[in-house]
Amino acid sequence: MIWDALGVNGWTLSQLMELSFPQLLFLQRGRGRILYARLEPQVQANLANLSAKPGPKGEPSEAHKVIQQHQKRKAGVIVPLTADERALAYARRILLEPYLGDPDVVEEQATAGALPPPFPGMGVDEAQAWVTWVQGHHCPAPVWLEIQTVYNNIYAAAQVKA
Amino acid sequence: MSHLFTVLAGKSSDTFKLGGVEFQAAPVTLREYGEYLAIEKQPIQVQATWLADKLGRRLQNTTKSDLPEITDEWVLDNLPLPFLKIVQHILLYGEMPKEGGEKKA
Repeated sequence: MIWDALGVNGWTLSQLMELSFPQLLFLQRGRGRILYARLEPQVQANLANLSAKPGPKGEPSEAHKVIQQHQKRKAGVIVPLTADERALAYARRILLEPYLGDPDVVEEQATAGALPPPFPGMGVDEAQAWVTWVQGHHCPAPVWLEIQTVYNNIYAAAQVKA
Repeated sequence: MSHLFTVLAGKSSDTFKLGGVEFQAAPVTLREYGEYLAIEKQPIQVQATWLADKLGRRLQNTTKSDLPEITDEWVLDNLPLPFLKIVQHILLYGEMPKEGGEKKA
């Protein structure tokens, strides 16, 4: 039974061993593939809007906006939710408790997450200059390779005043 | 749809009672069941540790204060031998055995 699923859709033996028997039946009947076939056009439609061309008035392109959001998230910049959004998210989390576990544990982790420590000895103005330079895509690739390990700390140093 | 999510999460909507304590009929993983297959033919005293571990993780109403601690002794006292096959079925398939019929494959 396990051999039917093994080698068909890229699952390894150790991954299959962590499944329960009903989950294995689900996989073996190929429903996972059917679901993916239904969802794939939707995924492609969502990605079709993405382009690297800048807008007509020189706005950053969709791809660059996505990259900036990704960098912000990696740097630990947390956009605060409104009270309604926070209540809605918490209520959803409580209703999904049987699948995701205790909701209050995640709340504690989210509040504990913060910016990384700011780069030592770097002033706010200097750090903001670095961030503006990098976000404006003026940073050449060799320099980016040098600074990318500490970029999150530089970003944190730029946020100290704000 | 909720059944789909329940299966994907490795949970179960069924519950069962042993010695007045309610357990969720959630299936074990294949790795855990493989461990059990190795000791399946041995006497119940040998299986009790595995059963106590898996049953203890499936306690329902964990907010109740009068829940017993599921130990080897508790399993030996509260699991009658005729029920052992039913508990095995529940832990493998994640649902109560169908009455009188062949179990689905």
